[in-house]
Amino acid sequence: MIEKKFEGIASNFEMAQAFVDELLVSHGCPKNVKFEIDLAIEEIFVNIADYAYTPDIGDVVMKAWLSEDGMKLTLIFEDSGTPFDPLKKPDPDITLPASERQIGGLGIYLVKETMDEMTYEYVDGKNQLTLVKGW
Amino acid sequence: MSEAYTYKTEERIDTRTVEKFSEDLKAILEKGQYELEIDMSDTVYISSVGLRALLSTQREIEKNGGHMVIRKTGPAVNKVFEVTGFTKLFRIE
Repeated sequence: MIEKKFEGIASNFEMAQAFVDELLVSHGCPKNVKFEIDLAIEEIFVNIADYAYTPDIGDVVMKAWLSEDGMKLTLIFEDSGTPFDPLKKPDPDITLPASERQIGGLGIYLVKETMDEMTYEYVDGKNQLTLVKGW
Repeated sequence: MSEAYTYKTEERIDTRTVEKFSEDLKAILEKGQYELEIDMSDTVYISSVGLRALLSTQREIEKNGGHMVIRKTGPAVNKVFEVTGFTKLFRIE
């Protein structure tokens, strides 16, 4: 398992992506899956950075590991900010025309739809969001 | 109807680059250019912030009776458009 602590500011999302990408690239993760994982990292990381500690800044701890066959990633995001379960957010209505579309909520929805699993737990005063994605 | 203006998007439309992307689009609309073609052939990465910028551009254009066409989308952009139902919101060629 690899683990790294990041300062929870939105612009650090690229560092968070690079941290996991190294693991993916060395295990032959296909390009399209890597894109979906990178996208999920940006959406979740930026969401935590923007909302978890407002108006302060706190840390985001990321943990990542691959399954034994090297074809499935598990990725955990941890923060000690305000308890927030992104899975409780209602999905945006994606059938509405442009004029009636809600502008928010698309990020979390994208993660939900592209990852194999997305689970949330509040443990020991921490938000813990786990993503699983195989290829 | 005025001639369509073509705007070519960058390789990545994400939290870091979206500000410039939104400003570019806003500047085009502020000139009264409501016939817009967005060439996405260089874009290999787009996140929800990019979708939001495209959506508000589309709304502004619709309000002014113009047309927006998105062209040459690659696999990553297609995936994000499909998942979010944006394929039905935009004219994609």
